[in-house]
Amino acid sequence: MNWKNKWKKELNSVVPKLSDTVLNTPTEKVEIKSERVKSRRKFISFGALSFAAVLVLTLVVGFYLLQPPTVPETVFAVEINPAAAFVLDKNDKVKSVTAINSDADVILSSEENLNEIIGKSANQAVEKFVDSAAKYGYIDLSDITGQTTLAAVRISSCGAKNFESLRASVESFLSGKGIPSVVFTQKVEEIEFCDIIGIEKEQGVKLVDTVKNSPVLYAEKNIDENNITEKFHAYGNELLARISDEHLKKSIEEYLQTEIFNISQYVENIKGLLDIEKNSRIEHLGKYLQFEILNKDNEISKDKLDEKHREILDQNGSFNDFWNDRKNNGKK
Amino acid sequence: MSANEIARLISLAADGDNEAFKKLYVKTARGVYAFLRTYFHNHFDTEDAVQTVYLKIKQNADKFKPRTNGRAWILQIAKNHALDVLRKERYDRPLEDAHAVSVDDTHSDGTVISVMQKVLSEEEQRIVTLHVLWGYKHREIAEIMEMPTGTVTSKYKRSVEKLKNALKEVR
Repeated sequence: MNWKNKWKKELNSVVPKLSDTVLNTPTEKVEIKSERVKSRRKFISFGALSFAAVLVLTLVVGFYLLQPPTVPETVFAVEINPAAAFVLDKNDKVKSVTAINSDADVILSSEENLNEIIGKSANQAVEKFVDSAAKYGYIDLSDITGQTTLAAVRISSCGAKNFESLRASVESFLSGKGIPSVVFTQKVEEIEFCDIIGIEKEQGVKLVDTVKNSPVLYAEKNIDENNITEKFHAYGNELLARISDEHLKKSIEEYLQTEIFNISQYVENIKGLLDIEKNSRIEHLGKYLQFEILNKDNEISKDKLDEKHREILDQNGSFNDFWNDRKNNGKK
Repeated sequence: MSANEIARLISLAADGDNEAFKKLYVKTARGVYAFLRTYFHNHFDTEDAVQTVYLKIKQNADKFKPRTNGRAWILQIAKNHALDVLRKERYDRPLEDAHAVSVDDTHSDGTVISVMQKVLSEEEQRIVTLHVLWGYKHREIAEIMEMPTGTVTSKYKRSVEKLKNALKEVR
């Protein structure tokens, strides 16, 4: 259990119960006292009043008739970790940005970052958000195998607006920074969008208004630890599961905390990434294995090997042979 | 719970809806307790203060302006009450007790509550409480505590690091 949840649980146990005395205390009603204010009256002729009224009415009606048709505001969410919800005004400029998780809060707490997001186009704003995420270390630019991991970005919207150009812009931006990425967009119904950004839609209140008026949009998520290993082992490759458990468990925990994907989707993504590694870069997986089993003096830590492979190592004394053997025998 | 929802419950309580007031208590008492604890440092004074604060909320619910920030209103009542009590204690304390330290239970029993009080300053405790329990953004906390946003961000990060390290040592 992380410290925040532990803290909340402790507080729940010490907070006193609401006493009946407090509950039954009546509310002191505020009396609204009206006061007469004396004012001077100006006597204006009836004719002048009528003319003024017609003039004002004409101006007001004319003003509204001449207004261009209003384009509704748009709201969309960008999830990397971090994750944020953006509201675009009728001119497609960012009117507000709100954190969906606490990591986005760190980015959006910077006045400098906000100045480069609010009032900018969607492309400019999201590029700034993604760039900040990378600078703050949220986009992992290299894993321990020395390979660059894919940055995954999901853009969700509800409404008619098409975000295909935004998707292309973000992919191009990340590619320009040397970060291979998967950026995908989805249009969802309001209920699903509310689920993504973690709010309950209030009856009669526009979604856009709820997003704009909510100070934060996130809550702590609970990690079901039992589910992690079970789902991962369902992949069927015990070798990879064994060596990757600790590393991937941490990654899964981080993903689950921001709930970018549900567990099944996450495992599917991991399977995809591991398949890429398996097929074309198996030696890098070997380096990862090496990292896992070598102790701090760079010697193979035998107690981390299973019996079969310990024998092989004893016989061959060579890590390359050991790895080849795992490659040939360990994969299913 | 959102600020809007808190505001709605206060308004309902003002109209005599005790169920709404109970719900308000369930949803906010934990945050009020943690906030007051940063002033009183011990459970018993904090417990008393929580009851008094909610008494004031109930009595004055009609003075709350609907659709304004209910969360801020509650915290302001809590803060004012805490400062009133502390001022009165200092004023009422006999001369020979002037240098006595107020009763506190900051010796760590391994709980997050006690570790927080031991390793974080009052200001740091308040920043963490406002962010984690009340959902305030760092820039909002900066306005409340009258300090730059960057200071709040760095104090929050440092506080979390200190807390995590201290909790590891306790295990």
